[in-house]
Amino acid sequence: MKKLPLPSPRSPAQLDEEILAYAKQRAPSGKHYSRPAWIGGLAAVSVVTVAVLLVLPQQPDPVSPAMDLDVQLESTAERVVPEQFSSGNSATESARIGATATKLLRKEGSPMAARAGVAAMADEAASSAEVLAPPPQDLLQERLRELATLLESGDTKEAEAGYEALKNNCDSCKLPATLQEAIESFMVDN
Amino acid sequence: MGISLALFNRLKSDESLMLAYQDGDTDAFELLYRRHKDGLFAFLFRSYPRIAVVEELAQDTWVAVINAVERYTPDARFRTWLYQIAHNRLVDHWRRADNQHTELTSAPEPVATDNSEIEDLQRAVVAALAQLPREQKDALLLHEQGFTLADIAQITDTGVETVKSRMRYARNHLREKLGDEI
Repeated sequence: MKKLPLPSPRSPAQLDEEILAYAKQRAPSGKHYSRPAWIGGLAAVSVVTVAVLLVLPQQPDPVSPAMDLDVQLESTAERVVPEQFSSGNSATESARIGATATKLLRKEGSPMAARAGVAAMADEAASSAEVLAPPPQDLLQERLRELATLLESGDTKEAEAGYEALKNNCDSCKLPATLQEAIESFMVDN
Repeated sequence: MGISLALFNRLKSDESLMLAYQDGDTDAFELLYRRHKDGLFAFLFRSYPRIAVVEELAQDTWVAVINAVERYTPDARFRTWLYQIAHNRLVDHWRRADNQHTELTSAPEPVATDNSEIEDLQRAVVAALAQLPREQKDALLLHEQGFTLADIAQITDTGVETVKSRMRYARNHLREKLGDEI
């Protein structure tokens, strides 16, 4: 018997939509097959993060040869030492710490952890030296002008005390012995 | 990647697609649905040629498949299981119709084709089928869907010999009604 000539109506589109919608609604949720939308965003953020990390300058290798670190610290100490000027001895102290750090690092067989700690100390010294760096020459002149004003107004003792403090705190300024000489010198230079 | 996955899914068996849907893959279910929706709809229509009723029966069948997905195990062919569900829905509908004294008229709803002669012949075949006992009609229509005797026995929950007998009676009846046309 050959195949029967039978009608073959197709499933209506509306019925298809309803059944497929129901299938999606009732899809088992225990195991998620469909990729969540936030996965794409997470991937994009990860890629950007990696790209930024690659572009950013690399930190010094904590286990890099001590020689390289010595060069860095020597330059730090050189920046700190000259032309000390401050109201206290902080800049000098900073320079001393930097120099000590350099010496310590030059010692053969220093443990890496100690070297890293000393390096941090040297960095700290350099930064504090930058904060307490000597004022420019015009600040010195301004300070002398203030002392001269005091002297003219009759506050001789206060003016001389201020000048002594200035001399003590700035060895490299090479100030004359007396305030009078310093003012004369200042008057001549300006 | 999407195209490859779609191609890969097309090569999958019905059972694999159903298991994928069990894992939440709704695309797999859609592919499975599109494979069988028209065949199932046609089977239901040939058994009960009323579009509104057939739509309801088809929907019930697929909803039952969807609701059973988490319990599904590929012990038997998916298609056999699908038609078993559809057949059960059909039997339930006949029982309800019997209780309500609803009778199917001999003139089925026409299905549009390009050829009016074929339409006439189809209508005649459906009318002849409507006169058959339901079990004989089911056996014949399932065989027309490509099922083996063993499959039909499983779908209709009977023995293979019974199926053979039903089919023999059904064919003889159609020959009597339609003569050489079939």
